[in-house]
Amino acid sequence: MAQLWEGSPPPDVIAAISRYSPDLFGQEQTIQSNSRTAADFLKTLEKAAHRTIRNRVMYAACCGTGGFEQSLCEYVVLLRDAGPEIDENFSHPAVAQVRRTARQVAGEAHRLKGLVRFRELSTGLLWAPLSPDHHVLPFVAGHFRRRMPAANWVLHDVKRNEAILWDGQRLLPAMPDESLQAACAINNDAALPLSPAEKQCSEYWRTFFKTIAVPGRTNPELQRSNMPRRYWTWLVEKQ
Amino acid sequence: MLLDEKIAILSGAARYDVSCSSSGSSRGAGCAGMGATSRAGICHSWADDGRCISLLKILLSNYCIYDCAYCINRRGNDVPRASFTTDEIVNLTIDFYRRNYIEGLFLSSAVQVSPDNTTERMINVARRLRNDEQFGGYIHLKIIPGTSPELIQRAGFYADRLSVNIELPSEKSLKTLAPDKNKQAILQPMRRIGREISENRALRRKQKRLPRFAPAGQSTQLIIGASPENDLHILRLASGLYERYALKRVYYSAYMPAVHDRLLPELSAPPLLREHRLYQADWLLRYYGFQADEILSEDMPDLAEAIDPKQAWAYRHPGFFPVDVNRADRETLLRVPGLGLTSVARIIASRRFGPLDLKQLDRIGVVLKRARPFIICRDYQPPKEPAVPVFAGQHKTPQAAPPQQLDFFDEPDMAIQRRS
Ligand code: SF4
Repeated sequence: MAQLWEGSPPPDVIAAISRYSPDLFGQEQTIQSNSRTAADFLKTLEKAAHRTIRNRVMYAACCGTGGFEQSLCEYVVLLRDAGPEIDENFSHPAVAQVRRTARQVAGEAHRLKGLVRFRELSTGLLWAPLSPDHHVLPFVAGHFRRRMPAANWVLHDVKRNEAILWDGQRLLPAMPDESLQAACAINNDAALPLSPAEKQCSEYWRTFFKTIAVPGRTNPELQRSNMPRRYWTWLVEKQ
Repeated sequence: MLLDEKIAILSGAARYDVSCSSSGSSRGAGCAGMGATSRAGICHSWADDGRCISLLKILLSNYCIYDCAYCINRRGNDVPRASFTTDEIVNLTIDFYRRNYIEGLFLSSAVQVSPDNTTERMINVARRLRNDEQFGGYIHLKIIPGTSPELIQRAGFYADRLSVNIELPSEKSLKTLAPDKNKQAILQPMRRIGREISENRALRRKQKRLPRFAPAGQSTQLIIGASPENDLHILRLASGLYERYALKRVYYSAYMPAVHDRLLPELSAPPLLREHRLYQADWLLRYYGFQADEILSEDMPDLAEAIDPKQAWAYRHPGFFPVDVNRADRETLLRVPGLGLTSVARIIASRRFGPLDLKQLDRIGVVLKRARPFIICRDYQPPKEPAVPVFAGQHKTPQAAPPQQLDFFDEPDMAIQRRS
């Protein structure tokens, strides 16, 4: 996309996007990596357009399902040629699609701020397994850095086998070890290396979850529409 | 008693309170502390009844000296009883919060010894969390009717939100169904909270460092269907609460027959649809510029079941439509069925690039199925005579502002002075 901004023909750039998203981990987390171009591009974008537009591009580029690339390129070209106002044109197909894509990714990141479950491992580390649709780990990590600055925790994208660790000062890329991955495949409290306090606390939470629902008003469809089944894997209360 | 049993008893007793919102407050974690609140609020789970779980919603105790007819914890009712110690509830909150189960704590209680004694115990929990545990998450404290002003003042400096539940929408129903409570005992703390909030806001404009008093404001809850008040009465009460007590939210809770009492109606099912329609009407009051007396009137004092209140209004005002989406101002657009706050904002932004057509409106997110009969756009005009559904009712448009009759607010001394 950076090249596109500088005038390269679009086809080059569609390929670049797939390289672009992993770079973003580096950029957002200030972990050193080869993220020069991405970072510079985002800065240019912020200067030329606006922070919200920069964020929109960032979210859209982290989409994990594909199919949005053409629109994203078109959107970037539009921004360059027609100026940032074009972002307000909700009726333009490319703008509408980029906005939709960005909203999906941002939506999942927001949803996960609530649905992430930290489990206390026997080492004392708070470990949160998740399997998101999109590349949202950096966004979610930013949220917990603000929320739990004094604790040590790790977010583990089990699907992509990536992890981000907060050591109390910095966010670092981490490599989940093999035994943990094997335990994830089984995924029950007995298999996971949990602390004794963790087992107790999960039980309390399950009790609360069960009794807080009003008995006469059971509504599984509503529950599922707010909390789709694919997120249940790592929900303590749904195990 | 095991902690697990206490949790079951005291969360089971708290589940009839609908409010679970964690929004309206933003607070960052200190470097040593833990927790922050986020302005938009975050849901952490959805219970089997489909409702969002955001807070650890729980009673400190369900031993009660009061005798409210609709309440499962009323004195003399044979239910298992329990109380938490301060430590138990503090630790539970912290343990749940660290694991990201919750945004914070919503603490309420039955009246154990007296209103002040109970509130004091709740404040203790909040104080421990804030001062000893450096807890920065959300705290909502339920204030017991009849709590003294000193305690309210203390509570507000630990809590993000305070609430006093009105429960029964008129004084008469209160007398019959909740004989130990009275209008004054409910309204005095509400007024006090409102005053503290606005004074604190004014002071903080001059001194930024001052601690905030209940930054997420106050809310209340009304039980729907346990007493005979109609929807017009309820909406007038709600709009009075928004305007004069500056409440953030009024929650409506469909009455769930949990106890049998000859004073209570025998309902086969809780009035869920009515509750839903009231929330829609409440939304119209707060965000869409409607007045209670536009939504309903004395000849038609209840919300229609078959259509939402905004559609009902549209069918009763054919002269107002069709609205030209390429010209109309925001206020007018907001009255069109199928257009929401977001789509209206988008229409206004997008039409600067040229007049919009149906396809573009669809892309913007307008619910065309509902909006079509009421709009004009570049390539569309509705047929001359839109069909008016029979169930919408036909009645007169209210003239000017009708007199506000609020059962709860009828005494002049109770009006809160609005500060500007
Ligand atoms: S005061 Fe009334 S509503 Fe509250 S717990 Fe006691 S009986 Fe129930």
